[in-house]
Amino acid sequence: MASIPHDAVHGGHGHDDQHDHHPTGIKRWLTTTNHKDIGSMYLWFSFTMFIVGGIMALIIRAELFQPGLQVVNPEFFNQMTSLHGLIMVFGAIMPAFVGFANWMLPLQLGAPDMAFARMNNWSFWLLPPAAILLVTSMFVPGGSVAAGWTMYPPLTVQQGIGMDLTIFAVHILGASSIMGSINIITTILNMRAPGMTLMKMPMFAWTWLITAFLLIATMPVLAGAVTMILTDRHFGTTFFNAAGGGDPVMYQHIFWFFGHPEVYIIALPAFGVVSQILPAFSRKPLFGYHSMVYATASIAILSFIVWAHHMYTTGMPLAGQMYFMFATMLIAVPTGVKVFNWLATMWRGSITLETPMLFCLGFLFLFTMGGFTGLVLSLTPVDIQLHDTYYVVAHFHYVMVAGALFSAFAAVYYWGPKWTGWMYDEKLGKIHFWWSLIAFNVTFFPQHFLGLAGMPRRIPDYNLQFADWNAVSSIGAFAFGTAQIFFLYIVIRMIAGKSGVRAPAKPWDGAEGLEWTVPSPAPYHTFETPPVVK
Amino acid sequence: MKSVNSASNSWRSGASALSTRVLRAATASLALLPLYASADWKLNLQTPASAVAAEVYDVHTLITVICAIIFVGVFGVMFYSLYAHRKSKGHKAAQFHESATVEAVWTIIPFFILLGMAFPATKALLHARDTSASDITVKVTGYQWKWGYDYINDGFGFVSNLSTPLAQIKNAETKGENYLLEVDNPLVVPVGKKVRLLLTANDVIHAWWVPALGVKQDAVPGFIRDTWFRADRPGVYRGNCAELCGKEHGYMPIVVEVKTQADYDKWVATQKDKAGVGKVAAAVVDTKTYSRDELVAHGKTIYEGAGGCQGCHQANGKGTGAFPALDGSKLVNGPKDAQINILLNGKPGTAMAAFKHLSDKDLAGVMAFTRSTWSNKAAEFAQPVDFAKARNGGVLPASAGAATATAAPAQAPATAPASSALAEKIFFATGKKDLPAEAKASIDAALAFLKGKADSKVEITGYTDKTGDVAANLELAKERAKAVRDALVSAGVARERINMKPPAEVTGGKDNREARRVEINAGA
Repeated sequence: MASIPHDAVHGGHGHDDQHDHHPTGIKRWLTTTNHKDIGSMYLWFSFTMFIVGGIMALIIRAELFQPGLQVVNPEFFNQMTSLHGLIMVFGAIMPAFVGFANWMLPLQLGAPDMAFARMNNWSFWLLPPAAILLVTSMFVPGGSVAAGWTMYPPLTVQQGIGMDLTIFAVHILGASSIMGSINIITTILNMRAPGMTLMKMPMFAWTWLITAFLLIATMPVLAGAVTMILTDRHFGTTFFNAAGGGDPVMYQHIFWFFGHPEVYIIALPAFGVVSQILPAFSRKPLFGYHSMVYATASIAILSFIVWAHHMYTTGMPLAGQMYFMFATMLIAVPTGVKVFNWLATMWRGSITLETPMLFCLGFLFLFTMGGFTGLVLSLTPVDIQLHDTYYVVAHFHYVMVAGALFSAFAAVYYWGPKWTGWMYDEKLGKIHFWWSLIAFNVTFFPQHFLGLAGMPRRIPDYNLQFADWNAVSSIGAFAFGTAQIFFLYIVIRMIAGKSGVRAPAKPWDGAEGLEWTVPSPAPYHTFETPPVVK
Repeated sequence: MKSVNSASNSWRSGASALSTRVLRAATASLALLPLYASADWKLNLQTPASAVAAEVYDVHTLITVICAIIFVGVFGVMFYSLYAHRKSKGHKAAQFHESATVEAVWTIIPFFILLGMAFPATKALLHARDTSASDITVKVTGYQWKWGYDYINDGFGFVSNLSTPLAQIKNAETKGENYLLEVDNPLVVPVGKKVRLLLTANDVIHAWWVPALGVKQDAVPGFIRDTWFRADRPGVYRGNCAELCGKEHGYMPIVVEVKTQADYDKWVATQKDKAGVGKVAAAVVDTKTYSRDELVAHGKTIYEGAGGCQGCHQANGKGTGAFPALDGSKLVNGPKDAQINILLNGKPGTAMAAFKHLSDKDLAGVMAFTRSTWSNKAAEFAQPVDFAKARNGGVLPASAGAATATAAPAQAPATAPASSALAEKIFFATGKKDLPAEAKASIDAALAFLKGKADSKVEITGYTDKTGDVAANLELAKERAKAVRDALVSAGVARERINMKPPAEVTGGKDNREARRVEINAGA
């Protein structure tokens, strides 16, 4: 069933792996239905957006290097903070993990391609127009959205036409995510190799299966929320205007009903990557596979019932604050189980520290730190003090950058040899790790202090008492930014085969999984005859 | 309770002193960084100035310490494993991969640790949310981009604006210690009293936050929220708007001045007096006809200053973002009534707020200024009295006539020299006590009044404007009154016919020129 669209496009010529008759040049990329091509496009798109969003972050940090206004005006500053958030979440991190899913899920499951190969093409090609809408909104009258990535009304009702472009971009991104999720769920449920039961699936497939359900449940909610802003702006509705019977705070409830699961949409596939790599370099099976699956599912379910912990200061009943506090604290239990299981995986293993392993350890260290500050923030009275301060900025960068980005780097180093057929330069990879780890902490650790001392987030200028840590943070940010250009250099060297070391089918002696049974680089078509898993 | 508090306070200061020393040493080498005298590498929450803030401080410390201990424990195990179980040391991998007991243990133990954390947090939350039995209530309104405070029990209110000069923000002047955390009119409250805040907003969501007092609450347009604080000790506490509210979100600080009860009572009395609370309402309508140049000059100061117009519409009148340009605007160059309406009532659904709180003259000034500046050359402009009428449904308020009548003798003193009424004003130059040349007409009028009736007396009262310090102003006011008395004495008036009457309040008047005066009135 699933191979029908695939065969139709390739005219039944898909037998000779390396010399497939597909269009060449730009047409190949526009029309491709191959999961490997689409996976690569997702990853390159994501890296491009990562650089765009990163430049915005550096503009922010340049302005905050010293007190006073030096680089940009406050209005443009607000546009930068808003676009940086939107682009990093929707343009960089989410597509990166969809890219890994596209490349690796069929290889891990022993499937010839994704279930809906043409829809796969369409879900990717929706992304560039959405990105163009987001980025070009900076150049329309009034500039881009400047109300934060959370887009709270009534401020968003005041914005210029850039806000409408953002709303349409969110709609398009949502449609792309939903299509991608349907594809992933169908592939995982219907196209596993004979013998691969659900409980024998690699953890990466498990985390993506759960993530895809989260996406299908929450993206329509976000689309609904921004559509209500659109009609409030242009069609006379008053969903979020008290004068017409609406309530501005209702938007926040709807947004965070999407927004909190979104945190796990980003984090769960990262957990999956780590659960693949830690056992490989510990040369020992993943500890507590079953409890890992249950913990992942618990986190996903809990993520739907804690949304208002982002809203403790909006004014809600005391009973509401207490409920959301207790429910949020509960998430620490399954998250703790995951961390303990990873440690137990390493315990009494036979550990080596190649770059993918280093990035996983960096992930574990920093993500746990972000988890602990999350626990601090879950306590309502403390959160009321720290809400909308730099403490929160530090917290979610520890979770998002250390959580998602570090595991994405780990995945590129781990699977990159399978994609390119060449090993990366181990020495350069290690430099990239240490450079990123140190620069990341120099950037974000001081932000905890800034938030505690009373610096609000989203301000272009600040009192002199915050000057020193801001300067340190800005220096770290520029170091972190340049480290990622260095990463691009390492990847390009790997693709060009500059290391001179060809990747064997299984470059990591401790790695497990079907993806290591095909040659490196993976042929254009794989598993046309499904392997049998015992 | 008291001793617990002081113990935790000394612990706090001890810990911060230690960390400060460690940090100084660690950061001494960072000489390349842009260091500021008042920057001191702060690491922790601000020193609490209320019981709620102290509870939050202690819960935060407790939880952070617990987390740090667990963190060190967990990662101690990891680093040991990285060291001991390395392949390079020849360690052979074990093959175990599950253990129901161990997994149950590390699910259940964290659960109980969390219960332990929830207990103090819930206690602090219950305290923080108890807004009952407050001593005073202040309504707080968030505007783009300033705060409004209304003392509901005492019937007065005011607006609180950022007072940091633009030159400091633009790096043209040295930044002061309270850069961006200073305002013209702080919120003033008594020490040790429970202050309940009712919060709302005029345009978008803002958040009122003073870290040392442990208060943060969103102000949501169209709804009322409440919160409270009780300050432990007098002082000045500073905070910011904490919810992104647009372009100048970073420029709407909050300053709370906590005074002793006696000082607070004095302050309330002055504020009530200023606001005319408890007096018979006698709003004086400014019926004077001003020249266009006068209004434009006055309006420029309002546009750039207290009115806050240029924050949105910009100094060049071009507007920015969602804020429309005034330069070339149809409204500004069109009929005056439409612009009067928008200035007074705002434009619903947009960021344009109502500016009713400005005086008629201020509004007329802004209108004349916008109609005569940039490329705008509207022929029509409005007088203050047009605004007075617009406020009153199109007719001149009744009090206007009375004001005109009392002003009449002042305009033509010589025509009614022997009148039983005497109301003379002599206006002085800034900081000066010498009689101006124009004073002669007023002195003559007083002489004529005294000559007309043998047993009559005059009262002389001196005033100053608001600038300068209070004690110096009191002295200056007295000196001015003496100068007038001396002029009368030297013209042959007996001392006992002159009554030196101290002013109820030394400053006042519609503007500074009018404030710097000596009044001669008929005495009893």
